[in-house]
Amino acid sequence: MELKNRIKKMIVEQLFLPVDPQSIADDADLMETFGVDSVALFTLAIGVEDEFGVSMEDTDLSVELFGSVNAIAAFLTEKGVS
Amino acid sequence: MDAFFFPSSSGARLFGVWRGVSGARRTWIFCPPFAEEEKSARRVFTEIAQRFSARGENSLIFSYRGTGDSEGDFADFGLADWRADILSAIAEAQNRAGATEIALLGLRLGASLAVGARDGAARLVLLEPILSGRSFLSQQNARKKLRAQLSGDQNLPAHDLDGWQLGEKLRDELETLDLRGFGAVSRFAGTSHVLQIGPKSEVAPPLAAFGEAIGAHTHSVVMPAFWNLLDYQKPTPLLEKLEELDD
Repeated sequence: MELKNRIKKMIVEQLFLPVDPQSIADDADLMETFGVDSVALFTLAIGVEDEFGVSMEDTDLSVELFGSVNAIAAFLTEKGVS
Repeated sequence: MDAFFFPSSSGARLFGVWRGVSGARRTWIFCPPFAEEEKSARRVFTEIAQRFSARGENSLIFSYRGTGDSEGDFADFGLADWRADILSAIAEAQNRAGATEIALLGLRLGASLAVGARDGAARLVLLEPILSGRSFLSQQNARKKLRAQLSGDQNLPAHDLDGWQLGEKLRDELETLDLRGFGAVSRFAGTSHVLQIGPKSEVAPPLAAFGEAIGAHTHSVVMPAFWNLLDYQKPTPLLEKLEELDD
């Protein structure tokens, strides 16, 4: 499955969102669109680690990283996930 | 329901809430998680205790030393002290209930502590036990950092757990807490269940391996991690799963 589709599936699963993963636009602002708060950001951070097998360093963590599907995809690509 | 204090091993008083049922066959000791997780889980613990009462089982929900209404300062205690508190709670429950089966129900770090205080129990139910204290600390730091970025708070304490000061003893114990891998835990002689709670219906390999090591049945409960939520959500899938496990 394409990376961005896997990310969308992870977001929907982790946050228990009642939406079709494919309906999430790549550049949609996740905080605005889904009301993502600090708890949800933390949940997404754990989801990224579990789902893609990457370890998030302290320096990696930022609100911007979880701003959109595109932002998460860029981070994962940088970590060598394809 | 009876709210009361009872003694810990050091003499400091522990706060507990007892729900006694006449003729009960089983007595549950609830081993809570810590800090924000404890606050978010409190209502769920109450609901589970009420369910247990309805099916004729006693329960004791207590607070460890340095937490809730129990005596002491959080920073003065560590995991060994809180394991001892579980044993004090078991003794108190036995005094109150007489000869009933003792069962431990623990959540997150409370579940990890229950593993080390299980000798007096015939049954264990472990909800999302922390298998690696180091990972737990790392996740807590991540949550703190993200929250600070959202709130604009630049003054992050170096060592704390959601605002609770982490003493050196507790930090060291958490760094070395590791229930993963061969030989990390021994098999439990009684009945035990390990529950994964989250979005996945397949139990994650590390948790499955831990369950196998202690001889537990492992299950997944698909629902949000209620101990992380700010808003209350009725824990129906968990309550239903706990009913299923009543054998």
